[in-house]
Formats: sequence, C-alpha cells, structure tokens
Amino acid sequence: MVYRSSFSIVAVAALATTLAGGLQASQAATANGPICDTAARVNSTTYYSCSGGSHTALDIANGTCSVWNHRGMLVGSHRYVLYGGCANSCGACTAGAGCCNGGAGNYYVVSGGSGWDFRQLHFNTNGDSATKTCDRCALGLVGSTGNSTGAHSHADNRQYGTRKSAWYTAVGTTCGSSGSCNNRVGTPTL
Amino acid sequence: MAHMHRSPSRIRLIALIFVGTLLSLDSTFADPAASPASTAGSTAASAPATQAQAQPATCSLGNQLQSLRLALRRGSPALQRYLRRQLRELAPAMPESELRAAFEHEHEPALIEELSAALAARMARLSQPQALRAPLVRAQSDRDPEARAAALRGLRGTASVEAMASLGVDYQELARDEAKVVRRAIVENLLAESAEVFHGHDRAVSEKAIAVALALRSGKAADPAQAAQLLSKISTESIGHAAVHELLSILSAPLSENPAELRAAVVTALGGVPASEAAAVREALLAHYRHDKDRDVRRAVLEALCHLFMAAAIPIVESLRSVDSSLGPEITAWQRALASGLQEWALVLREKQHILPSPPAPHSE
Repeated sequence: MVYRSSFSIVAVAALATTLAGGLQASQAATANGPICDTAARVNSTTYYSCSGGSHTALDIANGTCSVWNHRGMLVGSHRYVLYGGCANSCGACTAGAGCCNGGAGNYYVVSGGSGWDFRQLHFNTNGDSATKTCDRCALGLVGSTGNSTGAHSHADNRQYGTRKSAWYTAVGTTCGSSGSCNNRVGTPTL
Repeated sequence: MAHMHRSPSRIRLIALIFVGTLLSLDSTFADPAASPASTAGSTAASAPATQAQAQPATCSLGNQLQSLRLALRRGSPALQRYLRRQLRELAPAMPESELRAAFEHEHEPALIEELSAALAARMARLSQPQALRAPLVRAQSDRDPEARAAALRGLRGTASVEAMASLGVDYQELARDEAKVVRRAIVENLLAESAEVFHGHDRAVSEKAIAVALALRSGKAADPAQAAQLLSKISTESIGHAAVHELLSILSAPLSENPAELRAAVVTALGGVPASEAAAVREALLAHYRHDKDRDVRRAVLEALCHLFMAAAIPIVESLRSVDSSLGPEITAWQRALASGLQEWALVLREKQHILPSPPAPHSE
C-alpha cells in the first residue's frame, strides 16, 4: 500500500552520554505511538480514562484486536526483551490483577541505566514476537493479554519499578492525543 | 543593508535545497508500517480504504541526495540534521536496490556515511541484516580509507555486532585496517552500540569490544591509544569469565609490553566486571597497585576497587595508603565519597570528582 508521507522530524533528545569507566548514565529517548494507524488514540494517562484510579502510563488503542502490529515505540535501535507465555486474548481476563505475568500479559522491557526501563504490555503474540534489537519494528499484535479489559497497548517508564509521568506530560500527551506511530507521545528516560 | 546581500550561487543553493526538501516532504513511499498486520507477520495486509485514496506522487532519491550533498557542504547544521534524519526515516520505505545502487556509486565520504546509515536504518526498522552487506563489503574493500571509515560510521547506533555475525563479518577483522580513521570508526561504533542501544547490558557487544581492543594491542595495525579508549569506556557489567581472564592476563604481563595508558584502561574495565568475578579481580588489582608505579595506573586501581566494592572498599583502599604516600589525598577523597552513603556508582563518582577532581586526561590524538 502507499500513503502520503506525513514526514515529521523526530527529534531524538539523546543527552550526551557520560561514559567514564563504562558508566552508563541514563539518557532521554523518544517514543512514538505503537500503532501505525491514524485512528490510534491515547485513552488513559496518569489516571485510567483520565479520571479514574491511578495509572501513570499511556494506554493506546485503535478499536481493533489482533489486527494491527504492536510496534516498538522507541525511536532508534533498542533491545526489546520479550516476556511471553500468555494465550492471545481480545477480551477481559477473569482472574483480576493476577492474569498472566502478574497482569502484564505478554510484554517487552527495554532496560536502561540507573534502574530505568520502558515497558510495552498486553500484546498478542505472532511470528514477530521475540526478543530482538530493532527500531520501531513489529513486536506482535495489539491485544488484550493480562489484566486488560480490551485490546490496547500500555506503555510505562519506570525507575527501580516506580512508574513516572514526566515522560509523557512533558510533551503534552493526554487523553485523545494521537497514538499513531508517526506521532511522538513521550520522551522516556533510559 | 550590505549584510543582507547574498551571492547568486548561495541563492541558487538555498532554492535548490528548498525545492528538494518540498519534493521529499510531499513524496510517496510504500510504507510497510502503515498497514494492519496479517496474523502471520509484520508485512502489510490490505490498505484501509481511506489511505488507499491517497494519490501517489513521484519522489527521486537522486533529488534528495543532491539536497543533502549541498547541505552537507554549505548548509546550516540544522538543515544538515534535518535532511540526514529525513533520509534515515524514509529509507525503510524506499526500494533497497535503489538505495544500495546509490551507495555503491557514491564517492563522497559524507554521503557514503549517510547512505550507509540509510541502509542500516532499513536493517533496524525491517529486521533485515542483509541490508548491511553493501556497507560491509565497502568497509572491507574500498581503496579509499575515508570511504571505508564512512561506510562503518553509518552503522553507528544500530545492532551492528549482531547483524555482522549473521553476515560472517567481524569487527576484529576490520580492526586490522591500516588506516587509523577506520580503527577509530570501529571503536566509536562499539562504544555507541554498547551505550545507546544496549545501555551497557549486552554481553556480546562488550566482549566484542574487548576482543577488538586486544587485537589493537599489537600487529601491523597496532593502535594502543584506540585500545585504551575502548577499554576505559566500555561497560563490562555483563562480560563472562573468559573475557575477565583475558583482561587480567594483560595486567600480569611485563609492564614493558603495554603502555601505561593501556594498563590504566584495563584496570578501569576490570572495575566494572560482574560481582562473581570481583574477588579474583580484587587480588589482581591489589598486587598490581604495588607492582606498577605509574601514577595514573594506581589512580585507576583505586577507582576500580571502589567501583567493585562500593562502601566495602573503604578499608581496602586504606590498606594501600602506605604504598604511595603521594596518593593519600586520592584515597581520602574516595573514602569520603564512599562514606556518603550514595547507592549508585554514577553518584559516587560524581561525589568523588566534587571532593577531588581528577586531573585532565592526556590528549590522545
């Protein structure tokens, strides 16, 4: 298929890396939406549906399940480590927060320095699902594995396990923002 | 208003770049990302109806390269950055054969680097390691060392070690190049890959960097300065026992075999090894501190011990105070930094630099 290129420069806000003595200082990365569909939208940020309980992550969906690729969000090559094993799902799990992999479902983790990581949760697996090093590549399909009530992609940026919000609030991402892969949704730290 | 005068050639350049940029912005490429996935894989299924109505327009890679060529010669840094990024972003949607042909026919190093980076972007976005074949062939065979180095620099920031392994090419082999500019490109690629792609966590990249550094110690293309650069900056947090053993073997060699700069770099690398190797490394470092009288090497030993053992290193470095009284202030500074209770090496290092800054490193050019 062809599409009219809506090229936009993705400013990779990589801070200068301090490398003294193999020291891996944390760096700022850029994250685009995980779905290459202009219909993809952010529907939860700091609170579920922007008015519910605490969430502190982005949920992005386009109203489909197991149809669209769930892509790596980070701009530039990164190591996506797969934690799989959950059966593909398009609905709600019945075991509450304990659903497969502690509620995360099938998920990927990119590990940064100083305890930082970036995770993408809940996808359905397909032939692309594997631990891999790539740039915005297909990692699986938008799905609803784990503690999820409908197909979406959950993305969070944590330090030592604590979710942070600055990575998306700093660029103005909120409910209704585009979650397309051509749009920057945040600047996570890694 | 003399300051507003622009020469005709400069006006033509700006106009050409502007038109070329507009052409590129308005271009149409088949984008494998912009479609739903088939359940079998990542490639496109059918196009959504709304997108299928878009009218394709022609776009010339040649025009884009011409804009980039002119910008790299005379454009502003911002324009250069923009056009570079544009080529890399659009590369996955371009026919690989066209990109490869442009790369193979290019002779200007700056453009070789950009086209190599475009091919590397295809590799990273589409998981196609074979896209690196052309840059690697050129890095091995071009007669111009600047072209060889540029082909390698284009791979920076991608998973080049893994891709090269699948293509049967090795940085160790490439590091035997007689041109310093090529060796420097390899060192910088490995450091960038370890830090930016893997954040220091990847064993394969770290061990490859150590292997390259060891290869640079001797032989026709010996480059101890680059070897030291690599060893002093690479993360060793994930390396295995064999790699640690190789580093230790450098320290146990006669001092005359390796320059002090390299010995200090090896010591620094040993400071970051996994905890399972720490005990053996401590003994080696303590022995080396007494044996090696070079001040920079001894300073590196102190830092490595602190890196390995954090607060537990306070009595260890104290035991070395009597060996070299001139380094007493250094030991005291480390002890104060370690006693501050900071839990991350980056913070301890910063605290120590605050207490007693390290002298500037010698210029290695």
